Amino acid sequence: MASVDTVQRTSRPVRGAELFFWAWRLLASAQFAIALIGFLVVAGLLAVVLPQVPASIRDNGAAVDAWLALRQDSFGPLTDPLYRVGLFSVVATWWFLSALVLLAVSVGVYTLDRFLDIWRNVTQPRQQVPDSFFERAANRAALDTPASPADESARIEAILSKRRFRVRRVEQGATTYLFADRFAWAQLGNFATHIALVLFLAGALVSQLGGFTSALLIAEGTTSPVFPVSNPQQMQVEVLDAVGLFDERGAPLDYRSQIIIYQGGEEVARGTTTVNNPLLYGGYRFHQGGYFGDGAALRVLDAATGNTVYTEVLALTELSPAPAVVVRDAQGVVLLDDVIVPSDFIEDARGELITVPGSGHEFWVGLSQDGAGVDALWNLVVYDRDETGARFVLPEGETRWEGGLQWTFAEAVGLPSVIAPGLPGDSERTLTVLSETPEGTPFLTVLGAVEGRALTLFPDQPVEIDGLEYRFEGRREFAGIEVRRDPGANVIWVAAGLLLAGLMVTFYLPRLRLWARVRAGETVVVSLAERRGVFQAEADHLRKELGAGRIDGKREGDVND
Amino acid sequence: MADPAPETEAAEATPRRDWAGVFRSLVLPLGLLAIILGGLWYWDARGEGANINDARYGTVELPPERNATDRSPAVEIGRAAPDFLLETPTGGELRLSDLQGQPVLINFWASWCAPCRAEVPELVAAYDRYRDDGLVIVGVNLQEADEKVNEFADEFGIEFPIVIDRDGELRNVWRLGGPFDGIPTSYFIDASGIVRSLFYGPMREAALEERLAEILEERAG
Repeated sequence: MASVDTVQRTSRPVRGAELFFWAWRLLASAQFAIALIGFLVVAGLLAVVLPQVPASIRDNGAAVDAWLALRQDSFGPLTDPLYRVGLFSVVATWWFLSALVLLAVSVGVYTLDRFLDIWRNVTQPRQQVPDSFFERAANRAALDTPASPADESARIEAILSKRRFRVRRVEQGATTYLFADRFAWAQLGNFATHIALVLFLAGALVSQLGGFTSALLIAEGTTSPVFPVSNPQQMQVEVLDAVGLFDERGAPLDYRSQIIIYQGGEEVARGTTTVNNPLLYGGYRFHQGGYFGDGAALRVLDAATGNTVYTEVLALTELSPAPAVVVRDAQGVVLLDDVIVPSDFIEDARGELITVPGSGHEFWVGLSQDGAGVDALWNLVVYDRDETGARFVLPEGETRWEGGLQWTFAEAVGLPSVIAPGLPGDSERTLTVLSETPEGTPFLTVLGAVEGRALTLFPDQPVEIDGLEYRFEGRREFAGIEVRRDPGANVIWVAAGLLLAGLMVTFYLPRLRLWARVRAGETVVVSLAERRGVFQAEADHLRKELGAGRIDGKREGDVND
Repeated sequence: MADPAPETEAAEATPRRDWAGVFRSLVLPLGLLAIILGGLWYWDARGEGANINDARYGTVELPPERNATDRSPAVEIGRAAPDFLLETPTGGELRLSDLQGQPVLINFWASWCAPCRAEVPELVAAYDRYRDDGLVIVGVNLQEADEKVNEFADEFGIEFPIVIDRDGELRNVWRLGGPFDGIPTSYFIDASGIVRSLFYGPMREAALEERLAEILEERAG
């Protein structure tokens, strides 16, 4: 019969303190932190590679089911298992969040562990060093102090105290040891500087990866979404009024706009935005980034029902050439001084049939071009419709008498214009040209909507043709609104503050830690092999205040007179 | 005092071994970066916008008795259309599955979308032509204010029902714009609630008629 030997193990209960220190060592371990970082990197890669359930539907079972149904094409039978282990919602899983929190704790402990070392050095400095250090220290000054050690150490202590040192004294027989410390806490400056550099990197990366910028061109009275299509945080920006101020030479002085921000169907912010003073909402900055003044609101209605069939605010970003013409009678009285908006063609000239007031004559006045590009020369082309059909051509800037009238072709100007696709009418491509009467009333010329006829639309004077009512609702300005979010900005500011504080403390505070050994006839002052300049200045000061001489036979490293 | 080497002894007050080595020096920067990025990611992904709307609205479970297929609902031709319950801009509610028995055209739009504005007159005209045949057009507005939606409907003479997807949730289920991720997008659903065709972009009359004929015929058949 086999016998069974048993070994009775003696177990010692783990004490709470041991568990704490074990956990502390684990969390302060570089290997542990690196392992966590590696795990998070892999998880992050999976989240990038695999489609993720949008946050806005994560809590909606029916929506998630419909979303997963669409993934079946790509993942087949793996769809459900992948979803169950959280690979379609990585950043929301317990394991990802746990690793993230653990890493945060680990880095915190790691940093604290290092910080505690520095803090101990600041608050519990080594107050005594071995005698051998007084002989071999890199920074060393030996002074001739003939009085008793008690008297000399008291004088030294007083002098150092005046220099803002905190002095502690230890007497051992005939020898007095002094420890003097000034601005000990300044050792934290380096720590702050290093943290700042890390934060700079982190801030830049966060801004790069988490930042958002979108440029919107929005006409007065209209709205534009901040994000394309729909987004859980979608906002719409409505421009109530866009203002551009310019100097006499046309240089911009200021752009500003009154805007409203909507989110979730509610107005959430309203105010003025300028280039330098953005409107802020939800971590986003709404800057005025630009301005465009040549817009026209055009609406077309079904005349029978009154329903709108077209409504747009057109940005007239192109320029259409037109002649600026002055016509005078024989007495020099100005009969016409206007820019003629071309609406049809005769040969290669684009022009318009006009009546010169006071002359009783109809003329076709147009513009033709010689050459192309910047070297192009413009000519005014005039046909007298009432007389003989006489035709004359007048180069830009010149004047000519014809039929008792003085014609001056002042210049060829560019009128704001744009092709309006989709405008109801006879043509797929309709040209719209914005101009003003000599009195300053804007009007819109529409070419192509109705075959063989140009529509001239004045504000609130609709024109009805072929069952459609065309309305020019007025001139509109556009605001260029730039929407920005920079989540790293605050991190960068903190980093800049830390860096500045760290550098100031490190370079401008004369931190110094001294040890002095006072014996009969001799005092030796030493410090660590750093801050040699500060040590030298303090040693010189001490020697002068004591009226002491330098002891001969100094060794290398002693401070010179 | 007979102590060990003084310089090193004094220096031990600030032990450097904890920072030593490239491997160890990576911990603080990489750790901080990982924490900040992970936190930022989580913050973005936590679905803040979902709180904008009442959680009752959005995609809802399609009652099994209203699923004419043996597969789960999905926005794919031949499958049951996912059900939704959304608010109208006039204070009412509309549930898609309540419209079963009638052919339905679902059109996603927004007033800021120029192609949507170009398309709306076609939809208004089509509704006028086929409403007596049972056609229902449901305009799903993306996240705009009630007043803007009502104003738009008045301008264009829209008489078909309009609902608002306030938090943009439906976009993720209905794959707006397909690969182009845009609006307008239209879905043609037959009387039994099955998706028969879809169209990305603004429809002209011919395209609209062709697809409407399909779901209207289904009903007639």
